[in-house]
Order: sequence, then C-alpha cells, then structure tokens
Amino acid sequence: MFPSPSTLKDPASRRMFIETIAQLTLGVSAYGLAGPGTAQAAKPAVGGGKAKSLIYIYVDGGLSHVDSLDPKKSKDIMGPTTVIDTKVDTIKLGHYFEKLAAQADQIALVRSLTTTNGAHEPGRYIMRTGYSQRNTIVHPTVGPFVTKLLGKRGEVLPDSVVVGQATSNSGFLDPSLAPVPIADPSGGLPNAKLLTDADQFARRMQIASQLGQKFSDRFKYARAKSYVSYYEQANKLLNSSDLQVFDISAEGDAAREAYGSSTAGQGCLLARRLVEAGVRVVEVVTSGWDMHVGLQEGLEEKGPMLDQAIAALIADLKQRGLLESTLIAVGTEFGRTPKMNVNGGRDHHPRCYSGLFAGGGVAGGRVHGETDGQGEKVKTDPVKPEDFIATMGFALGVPLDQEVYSPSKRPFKFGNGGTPLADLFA
Amino acid sequence: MYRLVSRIFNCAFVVLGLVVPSLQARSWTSSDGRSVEGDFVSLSGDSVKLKLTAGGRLVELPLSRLSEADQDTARRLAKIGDDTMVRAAAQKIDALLQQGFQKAKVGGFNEPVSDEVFARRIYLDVLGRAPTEDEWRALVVDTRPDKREILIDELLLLEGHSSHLFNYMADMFRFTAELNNGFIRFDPYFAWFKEQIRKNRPYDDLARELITASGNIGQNPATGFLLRDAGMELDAFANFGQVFLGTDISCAQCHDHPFVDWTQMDFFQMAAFFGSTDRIVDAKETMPGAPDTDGLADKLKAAAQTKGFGGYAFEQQANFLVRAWGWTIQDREGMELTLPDDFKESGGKPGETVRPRVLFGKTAKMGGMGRREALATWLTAQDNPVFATVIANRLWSRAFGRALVEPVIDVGDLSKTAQPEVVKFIGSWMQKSGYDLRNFERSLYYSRAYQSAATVEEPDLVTLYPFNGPLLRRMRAEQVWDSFVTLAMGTQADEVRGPDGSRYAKILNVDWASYTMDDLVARAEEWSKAGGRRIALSGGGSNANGDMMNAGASMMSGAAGRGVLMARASENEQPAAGGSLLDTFGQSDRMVTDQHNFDGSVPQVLSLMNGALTSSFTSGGSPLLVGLENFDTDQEKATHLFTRILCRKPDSEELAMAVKLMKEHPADAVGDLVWGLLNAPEFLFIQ
Repeated sequence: MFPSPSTLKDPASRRMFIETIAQLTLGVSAYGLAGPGTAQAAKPAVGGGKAKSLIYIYVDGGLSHVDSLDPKKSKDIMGPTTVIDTKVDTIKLGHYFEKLAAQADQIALVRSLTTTNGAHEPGRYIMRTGYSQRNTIVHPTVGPFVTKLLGKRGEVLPDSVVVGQATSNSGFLDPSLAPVPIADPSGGLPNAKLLTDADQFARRMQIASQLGQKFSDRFKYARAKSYVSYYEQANKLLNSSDLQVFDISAEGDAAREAYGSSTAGQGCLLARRLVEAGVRVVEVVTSGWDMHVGLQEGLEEKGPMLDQAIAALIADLKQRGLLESTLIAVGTEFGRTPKMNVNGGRDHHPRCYSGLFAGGGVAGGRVHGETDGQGEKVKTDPVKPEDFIATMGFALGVPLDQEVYSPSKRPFKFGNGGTPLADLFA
Repeated sequence: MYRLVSRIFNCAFVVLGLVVPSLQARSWTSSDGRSVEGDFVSLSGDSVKLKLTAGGRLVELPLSRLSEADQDTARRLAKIGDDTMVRAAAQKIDALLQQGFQKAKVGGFNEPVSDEVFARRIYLDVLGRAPTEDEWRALVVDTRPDKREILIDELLLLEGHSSHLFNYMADMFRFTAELNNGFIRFDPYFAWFKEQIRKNRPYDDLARELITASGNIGQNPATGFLLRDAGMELDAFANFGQVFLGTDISCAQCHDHPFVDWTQMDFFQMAAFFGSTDRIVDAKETMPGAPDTDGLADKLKAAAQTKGFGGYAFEQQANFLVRAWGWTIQDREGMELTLPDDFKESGGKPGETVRPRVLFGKTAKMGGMGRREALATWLTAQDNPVFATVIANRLWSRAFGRALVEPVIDVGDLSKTAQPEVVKFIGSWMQKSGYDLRNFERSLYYSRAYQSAATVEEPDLVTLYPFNGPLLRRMRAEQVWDSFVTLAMGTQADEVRGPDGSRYAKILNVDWASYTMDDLVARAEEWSKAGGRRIALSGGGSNANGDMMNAGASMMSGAAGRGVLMARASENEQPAAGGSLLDTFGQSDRMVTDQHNFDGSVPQVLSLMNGALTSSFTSGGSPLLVGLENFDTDQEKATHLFTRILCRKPDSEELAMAVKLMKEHPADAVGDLVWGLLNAPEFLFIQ
C-alpha cells in the first residue's frame, strides 16, 4: 500500500511517507483508510503536494474585488481606482497593487469566488474553515486540520500560528492543535522572558501543575484541559532556542523595511521566519477592509500596505529557495459592490470576489474564472469557499477524502468536499 | 406563511399567572416574638407597611416593632424592592426544570453548592469579579438562613454590578470607542448606557430609546446605537435582528434564507422601518438653522485667526469638529429604502421602494407615529413575546454558562432546547416584571438550579442540556482583569471611574436654533487644544493616579500595560488595546455581536507566567504579601494565600506541599506560592 522508505530519495516524498504513517499511528480516520478504494486518498493528484508550508493572508472585512484583483473597464465601476498593466499581458490590477503587478508572473488569481454569506462572521468562518457556521459544532481552521491529517511536525514550535489576532481555537480537535495567536507581529511572542532563574521557575511550575491537576481531574471540560496543554507548550517554548524565531527584530532593518511597517507587512515577515523554522501553517490577518465609507481613503492607506507585504513575501521566499515549497494564499470573506454607495464606499458583495495563490507548486500568471463586465457576478468557473480551502489542502498533500470524526462522531473532511483548483498548478 | 419564530408566538404566554400556590409568604417577627405572614410594601421613615397574607389587609407599624433581623430585611427590600414575585419566579423555574428532567432522564438538580464555592461564584456573576478574602469569609461565617438572598440583593445594588452588565451589553451592542480616525467618540453614549444600567432602566424602555433617538452624540447620547453603524445600514439591521429579535436574518440580506423561510424581501421590508432614517456621514442639511457645513470650517478658521490662534493643527481639528457636529441620526421626509441593484429574489425588483412590514406577529400600526416609534412599539408590545424571551435567554446564559436556546442570536426554534416550558416562562416573567433586568437576574440567582454545584462533566453541544446545575465557565476577559485589579486594589477598584465623555459631549451639543459664531469658535478652540485626545476631551472620571488610589493600585499601575487604566474593564477604552490582557483573554473586538472568546492560548498562559502583573504580585511589595508576617505559622500563611487568591482553603495535600516549600525555600516560597495559585487554571474558572 505504501512505498518503502528506502525507495524514497527526495526529502519531499520521504516526508510524505512519514506523514502518511503518522496519519495511521495517530489513528486519524482508521475507518476511512481501512475501506476499499481509500488508499489513493493519501496520494495527491498531479501538481499538488509540493507545498510543505502555507501562509494564508486573510484580508478581514471584505476586499473590494474591482479595486484590487479584478478591475473593470468602466470608470463608473472603478470609481477612484485606475486600472494598471502588469508583467503579464492578460492580467490587469487596481492601481494600489503596483508591486504585485511587477510580480504578476508569480501569482495565480482566482476571480470567480462566490458565496452566500453576506455578513462578516459567517463569511469569515467559512473562508477559514471550509464549513458554514453552525451552533452545534466549531470547525477547525486550516492549521489544526492539516496537523490532524498530516501529523504533528514540530517538537517545540507549534504547527500553526495565527498572526494579527489575539485568540484562536482548534475547533472540535484537540486543543493542543490550536494555532498560537500572535496579536502584534512586532511584539513577537510577548512575555517570553522568565521572571526568575530556571530552578525557581521549575519549582513554580511544579506548584501550579499540582494544583491544576486536581482541578482538571475534577472538571472534565475541554477548556479546563486545554490550559494544561497550553502550559506544557509554553514551558517547552520557554526552554528552547526556537523561541527567537518569533522575534522579527532579529531581521535587519532592510528586511523589515522591504515588507513595510504595517501589521500585514511585519506579519508576513514573521510568517516567513516561522515557515523557515518549520511551522507548517501561518495565517496572517490584516483588518480594516470593511470600507462602507470613504473607500478611496481606506484603499490609499491599506492597499499599498497589502501590496508591499505580499510582493515582499514572494520575493523573499523566492530568493531563499522556499517559494516552491510554500503556498501563499490570499482570501477574504466577500467582495464589495461594484456600484459605489452614497458614502463613497462599497457594501458587501458575496456574489463574486477574488483571491490569490502563489508558490507551493502554483504556476504564476494564471487566472481561474472570470466575472461579468460589471463585476456583478461570476461568468465562468465559479469557486466556492470550500474549493478555495481544498486547494490549500491539495497543495500541501492533504488527503481530501479522509474523514475526521468530531467527538460527537460526525465525519468531516478538509475543505468539506470542495474541488481543488488543480488548473492553477504547474 | 409559517415561520419558526411564530412557534414562540403561538404559545403566547399562557403561563402569565405567576403566583405559585405553594409560595411561602414572608414571616415577620416582632421584637417581642410574635409573628405574622405578609409581603413587604414600603418603608418610609420609621414606618413599615406590610400586606398581610390573611385577608390581604395593609398594616403599618413602626420599624422598631420588628425584630432586628426583620428590620434589616425591611431596609434591604426598601432599597431593591419586594421579592415576592422574584421568589415566586425562582420557584416556578425550579419546578418547570424538574418537570423537564423527567423527559431528559435526569434524576434532579446537582447537590446544593457549598457556601465557599457559592461566594466566589455569586461575586463573579453579579459584581463581575472574585470576592476579596473579607467578602468571601463574611458569607461563609454568616449564620442567617437567608444569607445568600441577602447577599444577592446587596450585590445587585452595587456599582460593580452595573460595570459587569455593561461589559456584557458592550459585547452585545458592539461598543467601540471611536469611529473614523477617532473624531467620532462614543464615550458619551457609554456613560449614558452605564447610567441606564445603574438605575435599572426597564429594558423595553431602553430599547425604545435606542431605536428612536435622534440628534448627534452630544445632543442625545442614545444615538450611539444607530451611529455605530453609520454607512452600513443593512448590516446594522442584521445586528438589530440578532440583538432584539433573536433572529439571525443576516443571510436574507443577500438572498432568501436557506434554512428558515425569511425571504430577501422580508429582510428589506423589515429594514424599511429605518428606511427614512438618515445616518449622516457628511451632510449639509443635518442641522436646521446651522451654517452650511461646507463653509463652516473655513468660517471657524477665519474667526480663529482674528483672535490670534489657528494654524494647520487648528484647521485640521476644525474640519473634524464640523464633521462630528454633523454626524447625526435624523428622520427625513421622503427618504425611502430601495431594493438593491442586485436584488434577485421574488417580491420586488431592483430599485423599487420598499414599504415597512414586520417579519412576524401582528402588523405594526403606524397610527401617526414615525416608523421607528412604530417599530419600537411593535417590538416591545405585550403580545410580542420574542423580544422579552431574547433578553431573558441571554441573561440565563450569563448565569448558567449556556443559554436555554442556543445560539442566543437565534432563539426562534423551541425544538433546540431541553426545557421549552422554561423558555416560555422566562419570557413571560421578563414581561411581567416590567422588563426589570435586576429582578430577573435576582430570580435566577435565587433559584435552586443556580444554587447547585456546577456540573462536573461537560455536556456536548449536540445533546440538549437540561440544566441540572450551572456549567463550569471560564471567566470573561473582563472578569479576569477585574479580579486582578481587585487583588491589587481591593474593593476600591469598583469605585474608580474612567472618563465619561462629558466634555466631548458638551462641545458637540450645540443648539442650532440659537448658536453664535463666537460660541462655535470657543468650542473649536477647546476641541483643538485637546487635539481630539480621549482623556483630555473626555471629562469626568477619577484619575487612576490620583488620591483615590491606594498603595496597591499605584504600585500596580505600571503593570497594567500601556494605555490601560488600573481600573475595571468598563472604565477602560472600549475595547481595550490589542495585546492588552483583556485582548489576550478574548475580549470581543466588537465587530460583530457576542464575539467574546473563551478559549485558552499560549500567549494567555505566558502573560500569567511572566507578565508584569504576575511580576508585581509575586515580588516584594506585592499587595498579596502585605501583612503576611502577621500570621504565626506557615499553615496560616498558606491558608491565607489560598483563600485570598482562589477563595478556598487548601486540602491537606496542598497544605503539606506549601508548608514544605516554605521550609525548603524560605526566601522565595510565598512568591512562588502566589505564582502557583495564579497559574493554576482554577483561578480562571467559575465553578
């Protein structure tokens, strides 16, 4: 059923083998694997499986598609935004994205995303989990789900990190899989310096864990238990040299300036450091894109920041030889109305919106799907949020057919049965 | 058309009769030992009025005729109101829950909670913070039979209770301190809101004012509710649905609802109640009688120059101020909501004008009222149980750790609860109480259900929980923070007030019927001198570094973090800054309703392990270590620290561990023990 390790010469295949074994030993969906016809579930289709890591830049609030990745000819629609040429003849962008335009041969655009979620929370939820929001279950985000399926990679470093938000969770999966949240990338991992010497610290941890043990023995609650795991993780990190990976001040000024001083920029720089050190999934959240009022001012501030961050990340990864093994994804909850509102803003437009992939086996200069001339609706090759998430899994070599069971014994798949956009891959 | 919400409607409160026959009337004992049964009516001066159970006769007697305990009772009830209805409601809740247990195959309530655990729980639930050691001990040693009810009543009247409920409402109504680069500040709205909670404003009344307020935030702070979403009226309406209708209609904003039969047209018809209400962003006609806003900033600049001030900074601030003056809620004749260009469902065509129509229940009668008044009247009408049920279900979830119907933003479907009769009852009780949130809360805390030990095994989300006791809850971020602040400052923490926006409100509150240019220039000058900054412009509040603060607080104020006041969460910026302890522990970002996050994380535990607060608590001069030398033995010291921090005594094993530590490491042991107690996850949970 599996190749023997000795026949696997290149590290990627060897890694894949080990991870496949890990899936088995971790007991992930033994049911699914045991059945006939499921063995190929672990085998990625052609083009996928090249990415070792994922950096998912999440544009929170709703990125206006016509002003960014899917500009239109009509000046009425474009409002304050002009259309610019890019390195690739067939790709045009909004003028806030000129650095990205210079790298258009590295990026693949998805212009036909469509969803039924017109409100932020459900939109955000499905774009980060692949599942619709329900009140009977919390679905895992991409990071924890990948770890569940491919096995834990790091001993000390977490397998997933989310930059730009203060909290995170692992959904219905074990709390130890929750991404480590880093609210401010410039601050790194705050409070990482011990108050005492190591001996005294060990003594203190001993006291706390004795007290904590009694408590979590008494109350059988996932949250109570999760704190035990967070203390373990924190303790490991504090005692490891890996801790410095979180500190972007170790990068030179030139590197920091290349990414820009925004949260998106510094977040992408931190993401690169983390990925380089072996973290598998990093989400970088950039907020403030809900531009109902004063879209022009908003884009003039935010657009170039995001442009610089993505462009710098692509260039940096490429220069370090990591672009082929790192998938960059850019997503958002919905697009914005092609018609400007009376407040000089654009409202929510879930009928069509845009996303982007780069690296990780994706062929640059490609475009998947298109919207109509008005930017109102999808004309060809519609892409659901599930497909977008599945594409990430495809790149990472995640078995998309494999079922993972929630504690309530319900089966879930990475990407919720979505179809990966295989045409974007080389 | 059949609708889910109508399920609540159809059962429209057949259980309105609240008097439970078995309810024991209060027994009053006179100073010479005789007793009568009756309800408290009033206390004026030294004269108590009672309504006797036998015959219903009113009697008046001097306070001194009552036993000392009953004199206290009369004084307490005079402050918070009689508890007959409250006790009846608590009993009814317990009785209905027990009926539900049979179907859910549950034997009964969990065992009664101990005083030790109850004391910590009730302080956290009512005051929003853990008790001090003195407060905790006071309840534990109290021998009065009704000591818990007495404490509940006392706590409900304290400022800390308002602060705690404000935090919940701040999450629900999405309070953010500023919009648009900060020239719109919401401090006056928050101060007003706190005042409504403090005076226990009936909730229907509060909702009506929020829905119908007009003006700018200085003229009428209640406009903050609608100004919050200026520029995104339809999202605002989706939020309105979640908060007041307990109905998640956000899907129907863009298309027919996939699961419930709301159509997109329904959504727009309901939203049309706000269709003639303008939330002005940059308008000329907002201020009848006022100068054209386009020219106003220039006029201010010119006038300022003749007075010898001005310059770039002033000009910039004048522009901001003029926009802030114009940021108003106003109804406009002839203004209508139209269907969007991409409207694609049945019932209307893009561009068509939409007339207001309610989603369910009886038609909203306009009757000469404005649309918003009509909506508020319909919403809060006696024959609309939904509004009352939504807030009742929310308050239930605060007390028990889970709502009777989840999620609280969508309560229509009674098949989603193990206790449908209780859902119906709490809605009717909320109405019957006159939307008295305090009495409603009081009844929950009085109940046997609440006064049960927490369920030790977490119920899953799929099986409906029958509420045989409260669940174990992680504290809200605000409870974590407020408990820390109390550890540092003691009960004074409840009294420190943050800025209330009074100065800001005053500058904005222009009477356009009788303004003068000089007056406007003076306002602009004050505004620009403060540079629009929060503290400078806000006014009110007690300075966190001022004389109100004790030694513990001033020692700790540096540890609070940048931009954070050593005061309770409600007195700090809304929401607190990113990276602050409040943020780290999951305080809502206030973007959407109910976004508080209760999950743990590595940064959270790192902040407890190595953060500045922990450092202050464990090192020399720590307020937790002050006075420790007065205890004679290591056992006493350890016991004191356990009760101080965790509100419980150590068990024998824990005590032995602590004593051994003090023997082996005398110099560090107490600091280490404090560290261990703060880092035992137990501290973060409400049992």
